[in-house]
Amino acid sequence: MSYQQHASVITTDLGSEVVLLHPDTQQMFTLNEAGRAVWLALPATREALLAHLVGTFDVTPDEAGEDLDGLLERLDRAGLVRTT
Amino acid sequence: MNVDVPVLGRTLSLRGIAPDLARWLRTYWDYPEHRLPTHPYTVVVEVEEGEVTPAERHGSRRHRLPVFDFELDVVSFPGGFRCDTDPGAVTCLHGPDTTTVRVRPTGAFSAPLGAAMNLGVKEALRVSGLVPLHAAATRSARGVTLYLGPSGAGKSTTMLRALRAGALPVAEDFVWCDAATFTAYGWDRELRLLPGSLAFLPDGLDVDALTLHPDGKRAVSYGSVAPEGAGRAGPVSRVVVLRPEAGDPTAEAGPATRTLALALWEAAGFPLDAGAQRVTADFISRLGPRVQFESARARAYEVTP
Repeated sequence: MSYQQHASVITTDLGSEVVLLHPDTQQMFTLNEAGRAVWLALPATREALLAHLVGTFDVTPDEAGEDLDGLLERLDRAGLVRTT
Repeated sequence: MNVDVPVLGRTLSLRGIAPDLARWLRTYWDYPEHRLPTHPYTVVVEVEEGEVTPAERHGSRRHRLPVFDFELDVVSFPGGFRCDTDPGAVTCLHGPDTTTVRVRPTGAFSAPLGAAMNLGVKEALRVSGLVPLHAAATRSARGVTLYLGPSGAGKSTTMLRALRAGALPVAEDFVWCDAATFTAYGWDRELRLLPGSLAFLPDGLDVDALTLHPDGKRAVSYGSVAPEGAGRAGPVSRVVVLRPEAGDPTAEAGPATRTLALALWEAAGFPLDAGAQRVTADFISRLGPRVQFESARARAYEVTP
């Protein structure tokens, strides 16, 4: 399964984090540095995202996997990502 | 009637529309004090004749947008939007160097139709590289300071305090920013002040002589709070985000860059077109590192010009 950004989400890249604006709800979301790394790496599979996080930040695969799953679930619930 | 009005270098070309509509548009968009070198983008406002431009198409979305005193129902689609008012309708179609705003004739002028037309011009200017901001602003030797924050946060009062400290007025309510040069242009005709702000006006103004609007605000001309000929534009050098005196605790938190970005998005509003969205997002991401940022509750903010 691959995750991809909802095509219409507006991304404002602040360098260390991102602000996302959903076009339908006009709600804003912010992602921290790790969340930004995931967001900008999309589209990608969970496995590729996990490898990206472990390679970028000082975290174990277990720690990164837990955080990644939580993030992907929140992004999905907010309608910010789609799965294919 | 055909007439071209320069708007921050862009051309607003009014073609064959009724004189009262043209007059209404000029009242809002014609600012001779903000003449700029010619920019290639043109906004054409013309009468829509023949078949109605269909709004529902692939990728269309429905929105309810506040424009002036109205809530407009808008259907956006890739490259434009349509807004049916009662009576009348406006269709906005963006091209690479021209936006066409088509107004369906309705006879008499109606305020909702005017608001929808204005939305079309505003969207076109966004596409052309400008960003509108609901903000108060002053200027001094350091450049322009923008005061952002939700309604009631104290933008107007803080602006008036800055004038007392030696700053010059740029805007009390609304500015346009050039996303390429980060220059802000004041875009309101007068200061409109609630009774609570009047005490912060410069000394010597007869408050009772000021025009009272139906919304309870008093009108103050810019000429009465600034020297004659003082320009209302300049490069943005500082942004002050004013927090509400009480309420939403989430407004307190967050790194400076995030607080600034969220406040700028709130002030800019939601652009309908993808190109305008990119202009706004890029402007916000690039403005942060260029400006001094401050955040405070209005009453606690120590004003400097």
